[in-house]
Amino acid sequence: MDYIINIMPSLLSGALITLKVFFWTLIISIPLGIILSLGLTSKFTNKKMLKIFSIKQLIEFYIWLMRGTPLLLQLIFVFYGLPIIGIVFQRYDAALVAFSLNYAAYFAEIFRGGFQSIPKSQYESASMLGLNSWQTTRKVIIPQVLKIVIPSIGNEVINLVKDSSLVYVIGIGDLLQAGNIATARDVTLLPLILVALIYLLLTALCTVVLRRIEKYYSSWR
Amino acid sequence: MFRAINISKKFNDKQIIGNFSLEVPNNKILCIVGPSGAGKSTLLRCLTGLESADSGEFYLNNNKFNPTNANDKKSTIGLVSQDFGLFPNLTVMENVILAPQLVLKLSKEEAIKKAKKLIRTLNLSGKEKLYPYQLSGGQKQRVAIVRTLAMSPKIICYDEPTSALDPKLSEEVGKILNQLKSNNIMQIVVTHDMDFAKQVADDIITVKPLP
Ligand SMILES: Nc1ncnc2c1ncn2[C@@H]1O[C@H](COP(=O)(O)OP(=O)(O)OP(=O)(O)O)[C@@H](O)[C@H]1O
Ligand SMILES: [Mg+2]
Repeated sequence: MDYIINIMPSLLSGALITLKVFFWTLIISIPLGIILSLGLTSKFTNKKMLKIFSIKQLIEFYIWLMRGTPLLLQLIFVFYGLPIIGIVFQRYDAALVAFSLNYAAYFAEIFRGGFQSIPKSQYESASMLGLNSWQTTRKVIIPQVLKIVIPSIGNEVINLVKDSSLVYVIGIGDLLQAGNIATARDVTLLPLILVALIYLLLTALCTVVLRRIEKYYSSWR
Repeated sequence: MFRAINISKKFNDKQIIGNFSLEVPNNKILCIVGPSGAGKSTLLRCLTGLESADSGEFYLNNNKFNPTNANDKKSTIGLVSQDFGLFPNLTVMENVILAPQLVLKLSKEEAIKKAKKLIRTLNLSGKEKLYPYQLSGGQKQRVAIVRTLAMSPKIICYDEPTSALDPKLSEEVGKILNQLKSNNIMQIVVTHDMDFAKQVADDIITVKPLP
């Protein structure tokens, strides 16, 4: 028991880092994902620039790149690779950049599916009522899309809690690293078990919040 | 008086509407009938600007207007579409006051006041807080009409307004349309239902499929 109380502060400060990466990644990547998905579904992004490629194709390429290579590689690329060409990030910023860019690609695909499942008649009746496209998107389309995508977003959110442990490779002292150090130092499994429990607690918390949100959206169909 | 003159529309090189003209005097109801596939919905979509006509002109009280232009259309022309197009994420009241608030810039109180009056007229009192999925077909239909009326359009178009209704409800909707024949409103109704057409029409035109 004393031992647990002893190592808890370092685990908790690691958990705090994990939470920070988690939180900021969501704050950045969800809106970015929505914007990218609008680019994928809008008719305005079809136009070719310089007769070579369209914005839509550019976004598709980006998503392919982000989903087709390991997040770990992207993380290493941003932190250890980019400085070679003079782009230097602090560890923590590098983690946020890599995670946000990666998760935005996944969110974009999820939102694209959501936007495409809204029937055309919704846009038409909004336009007959005189709503402009921004008003239509905000008041009519986004709420319906959110309802559709929340389960898939939930999956990604839970994944993100666990993926955040990857920041460990660029030397950020997150929860996993704190547990690993304590285990190596004290030759006991206990810290790793505590780490597992904290991750479980975090994902359980996310699940509860997601259920709440789903419930909020269940008042209509 | 609303007039559409020499409207034409092609889809993929197939002529659907060819030089079609119609006119609706104030406070009158024009019914458009014709066999399935003749182009009635297409005509209505051209009138309401959801499709842009390949050629033709539109006049409201001798002023030319362009239904595909959002500004021309605002508070001029409304459509009650066949599937009603209610917003499932909004309650009946929210469906009705959304556009008056955002487009006509009414305050929430003004919008609600106006909506309540219309809701009472169309016999929907007590349904304000329900979501569209909680309504019957006929109730949805009437909410769609209230929502359109809340924008105070001069011209109201309906696509198959009775297709989801039993004869008794059709007659109710017919009464509502007849009640609206005031304030210089013009109504255009596309329908298969000849009984309904007889009940409401001041004038009937037939759309024939083009060869
Ligand atoms: N967006 C479109 N693209 C191509 N063809 C279309 C389109 N919309 C309608 N058409 C064609 O135009 C013709 C007329 O269709 P429309 O829906 O206007 O008929 P309608 O008279 O309303 O028929 P119904 O009574 O069955 O509703 C049909 O042959 C249809 O296939
Ligand atoms: Mg039709």
